[in-house]
Amino acid sequence: MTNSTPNQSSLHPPDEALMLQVLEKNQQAFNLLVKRWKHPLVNYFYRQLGEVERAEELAQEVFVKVWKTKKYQAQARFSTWLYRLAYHLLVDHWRSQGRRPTQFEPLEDTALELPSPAAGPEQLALQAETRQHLQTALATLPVQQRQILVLSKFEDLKYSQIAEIVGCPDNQVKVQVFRAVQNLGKKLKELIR
Amino acid sequence: MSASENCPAPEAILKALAEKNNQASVEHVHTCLICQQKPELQAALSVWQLLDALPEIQVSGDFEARLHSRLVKEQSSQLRWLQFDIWFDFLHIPALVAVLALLFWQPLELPATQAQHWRRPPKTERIQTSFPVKTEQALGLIQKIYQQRSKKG
Repeated sequence: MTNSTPNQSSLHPPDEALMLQVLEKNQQAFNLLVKRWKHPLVNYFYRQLGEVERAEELAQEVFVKVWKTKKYQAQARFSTWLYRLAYHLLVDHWRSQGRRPTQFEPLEDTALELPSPAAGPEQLALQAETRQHLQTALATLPVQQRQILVLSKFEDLKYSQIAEIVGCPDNQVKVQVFRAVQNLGKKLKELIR
Repeated sequence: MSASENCPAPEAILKALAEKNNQASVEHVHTCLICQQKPELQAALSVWQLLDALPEIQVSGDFEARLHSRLVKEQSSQLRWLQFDIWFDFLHIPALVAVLALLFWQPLELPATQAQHWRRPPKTERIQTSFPVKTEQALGLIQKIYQQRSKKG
């Protein structure tokens, strides 16, 4: 993921500047934002929902909101603002789905980004098993803990940003991340036994 | 102060790992014997590391094309609403008249036999005092005409 800074050259304008152009319905700026953020957003949704198609659908919904919005303020960090949209969309999605447990669908190799092509078959099998256990354990976490854990581990966000996204004090994020990790550890132990 | 009191809390170590900024506390965990003997902290660190095994998916090739067709669809539905707005602008006068008529129309509470149909309920009377036409007089005149006609049979 690319977290832009204000010092970037005009070839790589910061997200905040692009967003200001999107407010004026600049299609090129919007396309650039989509290109930068589609991968992190889709993966954010996938890690929470376990369904590739639904993850892409929700990411698209976020981009539609980005295009249509009139409320963006340049003082806010774009990543925080974007994840806040994504977070609320996910909360709405879960509310509409009731308390249906998350089930990660098996992935085809084409959908995966395989980290080490040199890994042997045994290693790959072990990786797949670990992945499966992790996904199952992650799905059992309380919704807010899961969201906070994913945001802190994968999205390169500061705790203060996460607190802003989720709408809780910074200290609460610190506690929730630790609890989530503890719960995940306990669940993994149960699964491996 | 004992050595363990100098050790950062597990929550703080996870924060340092997540934000990738406080390398001192991360290094501390690797070198501190006390921290290395805390099962709670070590378990948390292993889980944190294990999370890297979670898969990262590739976005499908037609993602952007689908997004653009979705935006076009949204814009066209927005345009339909715009057209409706134009019609509403055109029709706002008759609509306003209808709303006013509804406001003034109020069924009387009296039974039909005792109803004085020329009398409006107090609310409308109050509103009508501000009207330039003296409706009371006009209604009185109509009442007189009716009475004369009923006398004639």
